[in-house]
Amino acid sequence: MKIELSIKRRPRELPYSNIIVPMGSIIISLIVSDILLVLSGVDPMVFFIVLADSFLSFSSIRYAIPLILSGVGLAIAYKANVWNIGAEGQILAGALAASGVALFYIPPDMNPVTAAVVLYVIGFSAGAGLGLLAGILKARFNVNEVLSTLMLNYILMQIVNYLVYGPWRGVREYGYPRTDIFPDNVWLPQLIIGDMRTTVNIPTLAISLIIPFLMYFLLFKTKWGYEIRVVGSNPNAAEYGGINTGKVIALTMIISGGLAGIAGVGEVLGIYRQLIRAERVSAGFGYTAIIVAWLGKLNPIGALIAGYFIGVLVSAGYTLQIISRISYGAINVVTGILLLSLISLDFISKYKPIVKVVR
Amino acid sequence: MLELVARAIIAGTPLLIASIGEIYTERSGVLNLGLEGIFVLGAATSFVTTLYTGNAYLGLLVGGIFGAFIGFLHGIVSVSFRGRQVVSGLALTMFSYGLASLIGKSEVGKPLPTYIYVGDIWMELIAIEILIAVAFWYILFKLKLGASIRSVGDNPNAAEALGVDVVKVRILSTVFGSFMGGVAGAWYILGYIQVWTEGAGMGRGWIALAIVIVSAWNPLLAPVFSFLFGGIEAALWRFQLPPYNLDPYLLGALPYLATLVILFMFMATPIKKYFRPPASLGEPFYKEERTI
Amino acid sequence: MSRGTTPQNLFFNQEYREALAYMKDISKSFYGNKALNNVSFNLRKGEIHVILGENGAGKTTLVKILAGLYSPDSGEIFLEGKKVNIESTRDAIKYGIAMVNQYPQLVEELTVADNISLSLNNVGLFNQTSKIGDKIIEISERYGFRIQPWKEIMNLSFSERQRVEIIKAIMLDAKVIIMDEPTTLLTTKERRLIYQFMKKAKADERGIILITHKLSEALEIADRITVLRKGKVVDTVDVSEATYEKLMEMMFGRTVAIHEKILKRGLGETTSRRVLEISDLSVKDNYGRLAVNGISFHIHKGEIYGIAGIAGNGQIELVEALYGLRKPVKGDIKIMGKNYWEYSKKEIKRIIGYIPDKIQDAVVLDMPIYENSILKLYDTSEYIRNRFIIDYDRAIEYSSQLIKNYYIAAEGPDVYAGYLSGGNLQKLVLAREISIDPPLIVAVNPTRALDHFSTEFVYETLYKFKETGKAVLLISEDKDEVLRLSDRISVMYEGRLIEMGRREDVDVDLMEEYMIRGQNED
Ligand SMILES: Nc1ncnc2c1ncn2[C@@H]1O[C@H](COP(=O)(O)OP(=O)(O)O)[C@@H](O)[C@H]1O
Ligand SMILES: [Mg+2]
Repeated sequence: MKIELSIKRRPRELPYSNIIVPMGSIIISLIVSDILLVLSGVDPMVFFIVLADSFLSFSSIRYAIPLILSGVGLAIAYKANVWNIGAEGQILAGALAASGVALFYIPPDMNPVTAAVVLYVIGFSAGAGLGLLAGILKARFNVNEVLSTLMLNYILMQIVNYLVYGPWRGVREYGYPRTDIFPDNVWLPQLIIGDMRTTVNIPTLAISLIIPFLMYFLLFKTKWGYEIRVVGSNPNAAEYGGINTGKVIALTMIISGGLAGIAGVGEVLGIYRQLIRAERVSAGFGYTAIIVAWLGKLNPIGALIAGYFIGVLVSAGYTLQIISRISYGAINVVTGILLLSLISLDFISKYKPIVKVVR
Repeated sequence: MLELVARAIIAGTPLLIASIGEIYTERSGVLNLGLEGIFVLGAATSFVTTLYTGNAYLGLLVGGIFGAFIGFLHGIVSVSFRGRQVVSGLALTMFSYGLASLIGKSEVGKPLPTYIYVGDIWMELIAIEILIAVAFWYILFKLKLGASIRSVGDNPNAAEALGVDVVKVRILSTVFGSFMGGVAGAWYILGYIQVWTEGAGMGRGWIALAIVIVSAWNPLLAPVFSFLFGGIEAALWRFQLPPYNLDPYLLGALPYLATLVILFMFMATPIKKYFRPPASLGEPFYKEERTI
Repeated sequence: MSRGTTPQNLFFNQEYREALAYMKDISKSFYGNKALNNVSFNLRKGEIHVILGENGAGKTTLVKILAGLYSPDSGEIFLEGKKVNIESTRDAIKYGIAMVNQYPQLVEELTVADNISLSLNNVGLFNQTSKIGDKIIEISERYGFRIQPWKEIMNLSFSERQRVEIIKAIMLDAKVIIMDEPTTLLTTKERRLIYQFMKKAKADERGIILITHKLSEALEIADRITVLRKGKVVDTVDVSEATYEKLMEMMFGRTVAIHEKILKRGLGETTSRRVLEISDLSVKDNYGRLAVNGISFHIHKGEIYGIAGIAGNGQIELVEALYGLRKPVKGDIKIMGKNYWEYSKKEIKRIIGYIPDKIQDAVVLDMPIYENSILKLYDTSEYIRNRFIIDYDRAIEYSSQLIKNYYIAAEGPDVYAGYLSGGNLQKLVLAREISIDPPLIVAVNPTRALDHFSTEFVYETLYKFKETGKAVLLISEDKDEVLRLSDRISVMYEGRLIEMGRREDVDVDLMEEYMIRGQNED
């Protein structure tokens, strides 16, 4: 006797798979996380208590902001089948450009609102420019965008570190690798609840709440969104219909790079108020945002929800790091499993496994 | 100068091992972005193994086995489950980063009892490596085994119709390539840098992936580019010292910049016309797909 | 493993127990469309069994199940009375079943020897594939094929590829040999040799399943004939009981007079303005070889220009250059009297309605019908509100119209294109392209996946379109289709056009000869 496993494409996707698949993978990854924690000697309930706590904490929102912004951008790029893995570098580009301008060009008497607008635009442009570079390389020369965006991540990281260790190192920072604190007219205001100051900065929070809806509209109601979706689902049909694929690639790279750039601005102007080491500015958000995009099923509003959830997870992760001896690396294990189970469960919603017993 | 060449060869060896493995994987139609994580995981596991057993060759083997395990996961998710290869690969890189850090964390910086010393025999090393590249080329292009691998990467539906087990060949090629990736990471620690710190080997998997492209998926060309990148790495180390004293961070960006530039030069010039990627690279296979 | 003693087996009548292959109650559906519905079929030892049926009847699906390429949703397969499970081509080969595919299933980048060795169990994984070279040459010579084993498939023509498939089937030395429309592309002499091979195999107690749409061929070579219609078996008859008329009726339900209706109509005017004018056009294929070699022709208003030819003779490259998907290396194209470059890329897409050979390239399978229906119009003022917002209500209304007017079998405009059957997908593209109302339609094999009714509908539609003073470029592998619809005809062979003249002047035998062998060969 032998068991044969075969599969058949379902005539329709499983109903509610848009909800079941993300939920299922979250549950799987939470269980695995808890097992990992138990293995390192933590009480199994601690994890869930910390998680429940994080759901209502401002630090979750603080992490959710860059994750949502970058994640929504990546969702747009992935929808066009453009594999931007460069949000990390694009966040850094935004942070770097905004820091440079804030330090050296913004006059101390400039109106804070004007300054904020200028710096957001600068950050957006820097991120978008970096994205566009990879976009052009892909559209014109078919250079693999996964590799080019990755390489740019590393390059940006080294440049930021070079600056904070070298020419931009602050004179009032006792030799620490970071720039001087920015003048306070460029500080983005942080949310204050009662007399508690949170690390949530209001303008970037507002942007990250508006952008998903804007991008949803762009993707599903406008002609550009139509082009993006056609290019992503069938590039041959796109060419057939006269859609300029190169333009679509460039557009999605500008959007995703730009949104990551804004996230970078939010980090340096809204939280640190100075440029610090690259590893701490972006802190892997650019990579985690890939999960946000997928968990949201490449839907911008889905990414908003997913971004918040991952924000909770990241915040819980930091808390756990403190109360247990689990290293930051453990978080990578969990996010990896989350992403893997996402695409594996997707399979079940599209294909029906058939088990046959062969005599 | 000679010393620089020797260092280039030694630094290029892990890149060569990883890229030859990945060439086999990609020839079967599977893009394995998990290679980056596998390299790092291979480094960590071989370090810990060698630390505890005192046997560097066992270290190599264990690194390879961990790599093969990750490759197997990639095969299941992207070949059997038809998940997007890019996403599965990235997920596995994250996962492997995490695993590597968990496994090695408590052993950081401990001195290795033994390692693989090739400093004196680097000329023999070149010869062996070129022979290996030729052997892998021969298998890929002359034997039925190679024809099976290439068939599932070019046209899996036709391959299946001819009687090739596409799913099996793709998974096994992925497992093999990942085994090589793990061995490469292990070699990086045991045969080259000889110490492990958190994150050791990061970035090299990506470079190996780029080498695969510029080598036009041909094992014969892989040594050329592996040694080139090895050379860049060896030069970096040299340029930090007097009399050059260049900034380590700016120098650190160099390998990545070089990768980007070489990729660009390869794609933007007419040579790329002669080297096409496997026609179905990255495409999931579904047996009952409409073929006409 | 127990063999041959399952209870049902005992109730088989003699016929089935002796059958070389018996397929029982096979059903198979794709995306919810039933391609086979409870089909039973048996193949005796030493017979040539022809399967007849119109396009889309399910013939290929049935034999692919036997060859292990598809697995059935339900039903059983018995070989010489034993129930077997054929899960893959490997199982089929193991049981002695070989198949010559309708569209050659070979790996382009590999050599002939590589490809064939992949099917052969006696070539080990660590053997050189070149070891079977001599054997290939021998068989190839025996059948007059002239196939070189070390050539890559991409350098072979479509008909040479089909010959490679035949050689593969011969080398497999199978008990059951399935041939899915293998003779369409062969010369008369080669066809004779294949018939000889089939008769010899028959004498060796093997069984042959031959799929064809040529009734005369069926009547000439078959022992028995099974007719499929819309996924069901109409009947299996002995060739002695079969007549041309009877088979026609079995295939189409009632006797239909094909080749009549449209032929009788008057030809289009050929004096009026030229819609398309191509001069000295050369185009390269994906591998950088010259696929179209200095072609010139023109099409008038109110005219259908037909180019007949076997796949792979440069037709695809020609139409892709015409439609702006491929850059010609030299030559001129004029449309409506204007030079090609005077049109923007988008304009070209709108003045040429294009029904490509690979219909999947013209639709987005994971988008609903209404989004597919506006693929070429999504950014025109008709569907755009407020400069960039797509008016989806209007698209839904428009696509409902298309579904109704073109008899597309779909529940509504929000059904995903991927869930349509091949024929309905084809109709959707035709509907969309005609509705743009372009001066020129380019149609490549427009009825390949269609049944009789739909084929007639497509012919009617194209004909009406031309009668409104528009032009049609019809490119087809089916010479009857070209003969029936076109006002002027030419044959494409190895990148060149052979003018056959106006339809009434065409020598049909010569045309077929040119399609298979070109003009210059002896
Ligand atoms: N792989 C497939 N995927 C989806 N539909 C298919 C596939 N193969 C065949 N079909 C559909 O099944 C029906 C029967 O096709 P086929 O067996 O090829 O017909 P025939 O060979 O008789 O012309 C058609 O409607 C066709 O579109
Ligand atoms: Mg058929």
